[in-house]
Amino acid sequence: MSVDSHPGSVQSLTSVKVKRSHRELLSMGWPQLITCLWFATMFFYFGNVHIFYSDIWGHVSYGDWILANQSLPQYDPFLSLAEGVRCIDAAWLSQIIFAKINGVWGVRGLSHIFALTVFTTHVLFWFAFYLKSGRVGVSTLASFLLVVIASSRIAIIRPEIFGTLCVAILLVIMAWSEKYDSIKSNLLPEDDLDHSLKQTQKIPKTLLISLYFGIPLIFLAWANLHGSFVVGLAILGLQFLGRVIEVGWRTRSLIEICSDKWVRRWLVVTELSVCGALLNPYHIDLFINSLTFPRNPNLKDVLEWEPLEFRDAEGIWFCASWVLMLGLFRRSREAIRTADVLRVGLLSLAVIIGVRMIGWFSVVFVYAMVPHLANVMPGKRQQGQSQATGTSEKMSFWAKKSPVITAFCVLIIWFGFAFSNIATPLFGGTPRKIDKIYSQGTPRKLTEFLKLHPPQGQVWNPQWWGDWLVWDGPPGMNVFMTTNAVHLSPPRVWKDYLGIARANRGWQSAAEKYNVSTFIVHKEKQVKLDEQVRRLKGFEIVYEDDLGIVVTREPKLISAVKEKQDSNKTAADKSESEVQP
Amino acid sequence: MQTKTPFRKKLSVACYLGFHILLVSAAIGWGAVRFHSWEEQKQLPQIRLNPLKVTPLYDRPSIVSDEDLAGVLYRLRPQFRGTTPRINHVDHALRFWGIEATFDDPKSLSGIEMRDILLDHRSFNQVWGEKSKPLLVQNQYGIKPRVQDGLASSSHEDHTLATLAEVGTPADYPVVTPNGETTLAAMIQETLSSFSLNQLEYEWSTLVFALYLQSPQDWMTTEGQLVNFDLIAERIMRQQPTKGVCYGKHRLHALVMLLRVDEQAPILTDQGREKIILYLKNITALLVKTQAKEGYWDKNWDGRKLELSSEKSFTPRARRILATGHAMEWWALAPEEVQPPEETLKKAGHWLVNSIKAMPESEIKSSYTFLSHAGRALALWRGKFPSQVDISQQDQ
Repeated sequence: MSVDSHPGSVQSLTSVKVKRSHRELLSMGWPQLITCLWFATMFFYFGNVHIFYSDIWGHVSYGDWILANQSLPQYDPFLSLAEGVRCIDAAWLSQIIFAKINGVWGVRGLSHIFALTVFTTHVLFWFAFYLKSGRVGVSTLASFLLVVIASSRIAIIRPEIFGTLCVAILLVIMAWSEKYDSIKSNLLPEDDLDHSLKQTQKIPKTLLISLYFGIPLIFLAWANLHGSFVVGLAILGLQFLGRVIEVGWRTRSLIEICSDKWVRRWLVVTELSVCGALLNPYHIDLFINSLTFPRNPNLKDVLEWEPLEFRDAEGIWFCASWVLMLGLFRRSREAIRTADVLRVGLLSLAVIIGVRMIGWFSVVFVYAMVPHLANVMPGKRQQGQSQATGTSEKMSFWAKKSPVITAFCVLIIWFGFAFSNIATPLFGGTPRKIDKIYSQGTPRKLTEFLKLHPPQGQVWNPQWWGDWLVWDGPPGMNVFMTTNAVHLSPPRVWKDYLGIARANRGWQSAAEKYNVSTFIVHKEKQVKLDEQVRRLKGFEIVYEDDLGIVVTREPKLISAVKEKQDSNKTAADKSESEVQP
Repeated sequence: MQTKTPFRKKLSVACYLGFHILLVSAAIGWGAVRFHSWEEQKQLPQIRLNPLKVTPLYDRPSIVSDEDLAGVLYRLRPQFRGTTPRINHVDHALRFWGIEATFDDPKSLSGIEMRDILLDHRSFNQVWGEKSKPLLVQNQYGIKPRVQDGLASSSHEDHTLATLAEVGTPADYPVVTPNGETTLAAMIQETLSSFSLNQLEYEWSTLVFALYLQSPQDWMTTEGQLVNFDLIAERIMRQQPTKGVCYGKHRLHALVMLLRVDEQAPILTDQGREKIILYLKNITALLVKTQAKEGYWDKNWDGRKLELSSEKSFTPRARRILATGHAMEWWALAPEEVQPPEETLKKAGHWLVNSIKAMPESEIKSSYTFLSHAGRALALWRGKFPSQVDISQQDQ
């Protein structure tokens, strides 16, 4: 295995100062134009993503609960059936952020924070790729690749977006440090190094500050924002382990491994990061919880926690990634870093076990592939070389630069911003309609009805609506399941929930066990249950729209609805009789 | 040429390595200690050797006279000697008559014989034969009797164990399974381990816990849920009154048992106790309101329309004995504050006596399980357990 450093370090060795004209300075090429187009599109897209009806509302509710009670919940505050099951709220800080933003700017604020966070994350990813490859076009291609592989998980508003932002910042620092983290420069005798190589050993103070303070601070925030911080620790820990293996492979000496500056640096940074992550309300319990979380038996039935299916979109992209990786390794003359191999291996395994990890896999995969992409794709330098050898007389179309392209770049960025929803209030335009912010499947009318006629007993509801019902439904409504608390509900409750949701044999006695007095059914996704609840003895349909149906056996609810229907009918009759001559 | 590493460098590396190994070990150690304490929370509560005993509170001859009681109990002797006695009959009879019961009648099993059929695989084999599936089976948590798996199995979850608790079987009582010998504690551990607050039948499990658990502390189920008797009582009171096994009456009995155990060894909070009493008062008021003028209750004891679509196997008399016998049983053990008026009890008692006396033998056999509750209830209203009632005169 080669242990060479990345091309960035080599590029930086040739510090040829060429005085450039203003025209040259203001000129941009096609890669820059495509990059601007790519980011403008992303900004526009993220600004227009609908807020999904599922767990985000549970997070906002949790945030509100924490702010109101000034403490973290011991048990799920909204699911009485999970009483007594310890709740470790790994996303408490994200939830407070969501609740605060929602409190100040409402649902538009949530939409904006999502757009800004995810966009910033992708800009930072791009920057990390640029630091690794030194090429704009390759970085944009890598950014595109990342979005494609993680496409199934990219447009969901949940605390994980803050985790992804943290990993993006981490990768920027890591990519920056890898410019100096070179085996050659650290192990060769000083006499063998030329002056410029020695220069690379001089690590800027800002980088050291970023390493020793920045990264632990990232983990301090990350551990309080989302449980994915353990993935970040794995990324960092494998950077250290990779370096240990590289030095060990080369020197076969424990003394050399322990004396290697970067081995020491990565070890200390990892340790400090662990310390940073320990500064959370649960301390080490949060680590145990995050590591044991995937073992929760209820998650086996949750789609995103299921093992990878190679026929699904994620499976296809995962396989394509591996084919691409093998192809790149075959063609590329760039060194393969041990840490990258370890990270890609670990995250591949994680994806195979639980498809939810595809987002994290895409990050480490693209990060590992960037130098190889740069090596395989013909760059300006190679083109320059071919010009020097006289093999090509004319500069290629893609290598051209012009101020006109720069102008287009500015225009694209401006349009991307100006047409986004975030910019609308700044330019005095009409803000996006509320209807267009919520996703279409949000049962808003249904919760309006429930607020007018709140059920008193146990309500059975689809889990994907549970968080919305808690958030927008009548206060204190006794929901059966929420997406946010699937892992907190006792397995028996979860099994009974599934039995009812699928209208399995005996579902009625399961519902009786919980004394369910009201059923809320998603008509499209629960066709069988929809058919059966309509025929339930003693139950009446009190509400129905395109999305859902509410059936109940609560006498008060039934009579209230009937009274309202009667009064509406009387009013209609009256107005009809008034019209008659 | 290989250069020799200076000692100072070696020492410095050793110190460096030692320091970091120590640091990492400390973190891992901390994690291990916390993980261990998580696991410790899952430890099951301690079991008392001898279960608590809940004794009758009242002696009301107006409800049932000595003569009527002896007559009724005589009709309900456990005449199951012979091959293949239904296990649900055996465990109901044991609960009814208790371990001390002996009969002059050669057809009737004694309390000890019934206990042996339930707890000794050899005795079970003698009556059910080698080919029959054993009653006691091993699962991931321990030993348990088979439930609702044919005639050679128990009819309710944990009913057999609750029976053994109610008749005072100590936790170290030997249990012989097809795989060897163990103690009753292994069966109690199994029930504790496999218990889920939302399992279908939980009334008898509640009784086992109330009578056998040493301390009133919360304990964690294998589902990771912290439970206590307040929470279990909430669960019992959650369902609609008539829903559940035996028209929901086992749940009321379990609540009464919680109250009575709480008087001996506190297991409920004050609020928890108050909630139960309030609930039972409401149930009593409902029962007083819905009692038939003859004195019985039926399946629809909550006053709703009688639903018989799922009730093809029981005759009206059987249904009424089931509903009335169970109600009289839990009232017989319940504290004064949840009792109905004397008149209600008298009417119910007389109706039970007359109905059981009038029942043909065949109906007694087919309805034995719920007749056992009725017979026990009548004895309890005279301040006695059935085995304490002299029925020897009835032979003459």
